[in-house]
Amino acid sequence: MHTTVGHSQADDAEAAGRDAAEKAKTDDSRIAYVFASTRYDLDALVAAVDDVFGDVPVVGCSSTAEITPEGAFEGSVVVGALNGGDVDVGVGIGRDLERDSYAAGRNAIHDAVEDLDADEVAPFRKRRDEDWRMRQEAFVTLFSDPLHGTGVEVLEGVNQFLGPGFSTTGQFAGDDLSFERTFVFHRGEAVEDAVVAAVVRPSRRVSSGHRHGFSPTEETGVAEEAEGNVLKQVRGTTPRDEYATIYGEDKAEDPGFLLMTPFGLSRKRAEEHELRVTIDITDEGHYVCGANVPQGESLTLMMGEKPKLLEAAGKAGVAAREAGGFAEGEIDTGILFSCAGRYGIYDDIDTSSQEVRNVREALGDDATVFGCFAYGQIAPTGGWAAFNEETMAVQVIGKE
Amino acid sequence: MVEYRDLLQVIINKERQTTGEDWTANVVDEIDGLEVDADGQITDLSGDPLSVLEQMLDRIEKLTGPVGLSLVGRAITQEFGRDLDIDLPGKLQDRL
Repeated sequence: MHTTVGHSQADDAEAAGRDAAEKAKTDDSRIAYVFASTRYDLDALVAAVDDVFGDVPVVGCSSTAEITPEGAFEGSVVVGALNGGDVDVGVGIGRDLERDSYAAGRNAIHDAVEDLDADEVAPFRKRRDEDWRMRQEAFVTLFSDPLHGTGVEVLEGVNQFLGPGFSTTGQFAGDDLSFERTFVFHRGEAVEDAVVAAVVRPSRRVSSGHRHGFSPTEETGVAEEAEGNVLKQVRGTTPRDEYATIYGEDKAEDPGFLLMTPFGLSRKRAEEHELRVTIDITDEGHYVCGANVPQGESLTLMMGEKPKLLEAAGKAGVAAREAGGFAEGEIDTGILFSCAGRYGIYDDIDTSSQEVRNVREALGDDATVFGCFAYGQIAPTGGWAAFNEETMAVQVIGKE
Repeated sequence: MVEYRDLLQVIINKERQTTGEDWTANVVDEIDGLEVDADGQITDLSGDPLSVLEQMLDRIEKLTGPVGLSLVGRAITQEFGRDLDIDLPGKLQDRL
């Protein structure tokens, strides 16, 4: 197996898609990952990529910024192809997130597993024996539209079918921080209201890791009223009014700003707080988060300091590498999923590129990396596919 | 009339309240012309105070990006309102 990456900043969507795809395509490409800015006509762009790749499945999502081995870029398209006759790929799509997110997630992963050549895919359950890492033979990549349905339910549907122990990473699609329309890519289509799943068996060991690097502030409170993933009251008022007090009226309803200002839940034995990001605001001023907020839970406003976020990106790379028992330099490929909120805090392309370089250094300088910044990262937590916001999530494929 | 010293003190107070004493001390240590005591009170402001304020904002922006600047802008607005009769750095004026 080997990985190739194509990147284009051409103005025309069809030309950009074709340019990036032709740079990445090889004679034995088995799957193409596409991440593209919403400045493009994505129907035309994805159709062009699909045309170049022919029968090879094309998956991915719209992005806030694109990641290449050279760093981060805005307003571009990147195509990463996994190549080799020994690579087995299955792809599925679940539609109608708005109607039933759980069923869509379940359908997507079901169809992806069915699409594999292999008869079965074994999960990597928590094993204590020495060779458990060697059993990691497949990874799952998910792409979902965050502006339709409920992300938590999508992942519940995936988890219900797949069970625990898989290296499942992915991204909730982004746009250029406008929060208007986000798309997932499936073969020749750019689709809304859907989730796409890819299961890949690269005949190499795989693993993943993630870190965010956000620090707790002195601003704390309790989730006095919460239901599912909706926070209704904190410090005696709505979260909207509380954020308005801290950051200003306009910021409390600005989705781009809220993406940069998560709050955290403290977890025993965990290295970092578990983050919650507001992805929607109700008319009552309640904050709809990417994952559950237990009522009575202590909450802490989190602050992202650039140096700590950059350091955490490197740690994510190390965590991904060590989770698979890989030494430095034993990684062939890293697929990177970072957050548009981190991108907003960095506030410049050079610092965002530094994040990419930090991950690459952690994997080994010869690792091929690609990926994107978008609205919500998927990475395993406790063995299950989980919403990990404001995070750098890294999927790695070893050289052996 | 609001003075630069007042603005700097409000920013320091807000940073100490939100991000903590150590973080704020780390920010202030890097700024020429500004000294504070262990309680975060300004003890010395020397040189061009507008330059000191600009250094403070640059340092906050360098560490925390637009979030840190919004925190500062909100604190200033809550304390003094939006119309301050004093020259302000553009990155602060934009957030009032």
